Parts: sequence; structure tokens; C-alpha cells
Amino acid sequence: MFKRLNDVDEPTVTVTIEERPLSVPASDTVAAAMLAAGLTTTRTTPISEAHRGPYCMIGACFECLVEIDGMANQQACQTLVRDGMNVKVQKGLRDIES
Amino acid sequence: MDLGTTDKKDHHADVLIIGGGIVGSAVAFGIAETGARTIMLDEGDRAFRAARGNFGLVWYQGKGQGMRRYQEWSLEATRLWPDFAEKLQAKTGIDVSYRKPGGFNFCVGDGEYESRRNLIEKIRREAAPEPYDCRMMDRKTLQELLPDIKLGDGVVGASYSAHDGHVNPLALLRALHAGIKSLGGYYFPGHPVFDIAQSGDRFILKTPGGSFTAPKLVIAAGNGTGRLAQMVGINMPVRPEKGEILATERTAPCLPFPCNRIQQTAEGSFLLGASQEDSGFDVQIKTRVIQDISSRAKKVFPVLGKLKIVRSWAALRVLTPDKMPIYETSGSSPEVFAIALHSGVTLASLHATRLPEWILDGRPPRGFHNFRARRFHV
Repeated sequence: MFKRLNDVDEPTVTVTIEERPLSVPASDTVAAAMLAAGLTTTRTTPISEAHRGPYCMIGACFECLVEIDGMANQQACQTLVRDGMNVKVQKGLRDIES
Repeated sequence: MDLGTTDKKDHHADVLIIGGGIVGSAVAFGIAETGARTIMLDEGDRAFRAARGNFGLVWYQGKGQGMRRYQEWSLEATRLWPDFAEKLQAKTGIDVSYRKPGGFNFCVGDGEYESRRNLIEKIRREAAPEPYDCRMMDRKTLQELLPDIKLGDGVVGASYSAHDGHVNPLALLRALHAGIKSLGGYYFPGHPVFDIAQSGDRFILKTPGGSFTAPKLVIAAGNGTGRLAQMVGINMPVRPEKGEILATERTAPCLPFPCNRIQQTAEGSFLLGASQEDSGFDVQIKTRVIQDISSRAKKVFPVLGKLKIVRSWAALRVLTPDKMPIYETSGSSPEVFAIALHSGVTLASLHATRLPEWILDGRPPRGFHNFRARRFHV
């Protein structure tokens, strides 16, 4: 669905998104990396479990919440990828103790 | 709303209400419900609005020390709330998320616990022979009622009342506005009143959007009430008090009771409040205050320290000298009614059901003279 504008010649990092290793430009946000890989669901809602994906891409809407390295409620559009990062789709609300 | 016309008849009402916050709107809702022609005038989006900044508690415990009538008035309001929330939903389809699980006021340290107990016992003595339904609860009992969130080491206990609850205050404001409209009332935002004149048995209100007339006028304009009431010769001593609130990221529900300075909303955010600052008409956030609020919250529930703060804001309470409501009237024709208080959410149920009789028929609720402004003029 999403295509990168052009092939950028920049270093890449390897991240794991939903247990799938991906090589992505180091300047990507997690949301950009997921969208470019065709992963449009970042979280499911607490009650109806409906799928949600990045919407505003500027940190305002909180639709793109993901779990990063075991920590839930991270905004995918506000977080840059890092080598070795482990990203999971967030299911419902964060547990307060996590 | 079909009032875009310049026909002067359209700007006449049975009752004019100045103030479109929760207090003005609750009164307007009740008056519109009687079938009286109701027009509510309001400022614009940039007005100071306690209605959009408050904590949403429907609260009984701890109120009314020194004025028994206020304690009873608050209790009556909490009793009317379930039906009122249902009525709003039936009329407007808006669920204001009213819940009444009972509420806590946490005490950190023995000093807080003792002074809270003294206050509760004082109110209990004043309420006698009627029972006062509020009690102290020790730490052990409290923790048993809150199995999903651990109390901080310093928490000694809490006071508890089964009458306490909370509501979504933004949904409440929206429901009141929708209700007024569905009952045939009119709402004019962007119409600040700059002059009030009298002509025979009518008031004439001047706004940038035209004049409005009515034989009865209700002033419920929050911190603007003092200035407006002055125009009709009524002294309403009110002043703003700033309160700051923090909202955290959302988590799974673990705090099923509203509490005086911590609550978890239906959506999962924790709301942390609230400061008491005497800084005039100023709604800036202060870093030091935010630090105080969050460190206090962590003393009650240390786990809250793991949560991100996603929003913070400040709003202005409407304070009277004794922090209890003022309901004042000119008692003459045309008649003006002035209302100032900072418990607009709690009292909304009462305002919508009991004040129309006072305003339209001159029948004040029992013991209403206690609430008049003359208690300050000694």
C-alpha cells in the first residue's frame, strides 16, 4: 500500500516486527517502517478489539500505540527504529505493572 | 437554531441565563423543561471554563462543615444523580458515564488521617440527629477493596462515603447543551454581555450580537458573576482559584473508585489533581505544581510513577469566601438570580430539578436563605 519515494542510500538497521526481521533505513520511525512493510495495524482497541493504525503521524492521536521491547503504549510515529528493536502490535490496554 | 433573524421578538425570553457552563446549562435545562422560553448567553471558546477543566467528581463527603444545609444539599444532589443521568441519556442519547461506586479521600501519614477524622466527626455532630454517611477506613480494609493496585507505604487509610461518584464532565456539558436544544431552548455562544439595563419589568442585555430582553435573569457566569451581578446592584464575592490536572497514558482498569485527587477514567487514563493556587486569571501550567501533584499521586500508588503523563492543564475554580454556594436574588421585578459555586458538577442534578421552581414561581427550596450572599455582609 505504501511505497518509499525513492531508494535512499542510508544505513539500515534490523528490527523485529511481529516476529518478522526487517531491514529498514535507520531514519525511519517505527510507524513508517511498519507501513512500508505493509503492516497497517499497530494496535487493537480495548473493548471491541478493532484494528487501529497510524493516523496523524505527528504524535497527537495515540492510534499507533505498539509494544516496544516489552513496553506497551509507545507511539510508533514518535519513536525511531533502533538496531535489535522488538516491536509487537499492542493488544488492548497496557497492564499497569508492565 | 432559527434565530439568525433580526426580528426583536426572537430575542425575548421568559428567562435569560448568562453563562453556558455546567451551572448555567443545568439551570437552563431545568427551565426549558417547564416549557418556558429559555435563552442562554455565553462567551466564546477562549473564556475561562471550569466546565471544561474539572475533575468530574460527584462528591458528598467532607462538604458542608459549618453549614449543615450545604451538607444536606450535596446529599440530595447525589441522590438525584442516577435519575438525572438517565434523563439526560433518554433526552439526548449521550451517556455521561455516571458511576456511584463510593469514593475515597486518601490520607498519607498519621497527621492527615487525624485531621480528616476530625473533620468528618465535626460534620457528623453538625448533621445530628440525621446520620452522616461517611466513615474512616483503615489501610488494611482499603487495600482489600483495591486488590489490583498497591497502596504506598505512607497511606494510613482513607475516608469513605458510598454517596460519592464521578461523571465524564465533558459529556455532561455536551448532554446539557443538547438537552436544552431538544427542549426548545436557545444557546448563543460568542455573546458576552457587556451591559444590563432595566426597562419597566424587563432586563435588557446588550451583547455584540444584539440585545436580549426578559423579565427574569439568571447570572451563572462563573468567575464573571461578580462583575455582571454588580450591574444589577447585587454583590457576589467570587474569586478564581487555579487547579492543575495531569492525565496519564491509558492502562487496564485497576482503580474502580473515584478518589479526591486520583481517579481512573472509563477509558483507562489516570487523572491526577489538583492544586489550589491563588494566582488570579491565569491558567498557565507550573512545573513545580506538576511535580507536587505527581509526587503526591506516587505516595498513594507508587505504580503510577511508571506511567507517562500525556496531558496537563489548568482551570479556574469559582470560589466564594466560605467555599460554599451563593444563591442570591433581587426579590424585585424584574427579578435577577445570581449563582456562584465551585461544585457545579455535583449540584447539576439539583439545579436542573429544584431551581426552576425558585426562579419561575418564587418558591425557593427549604432552607435556601442559608445560601444568600448576605451571610458575608456583617
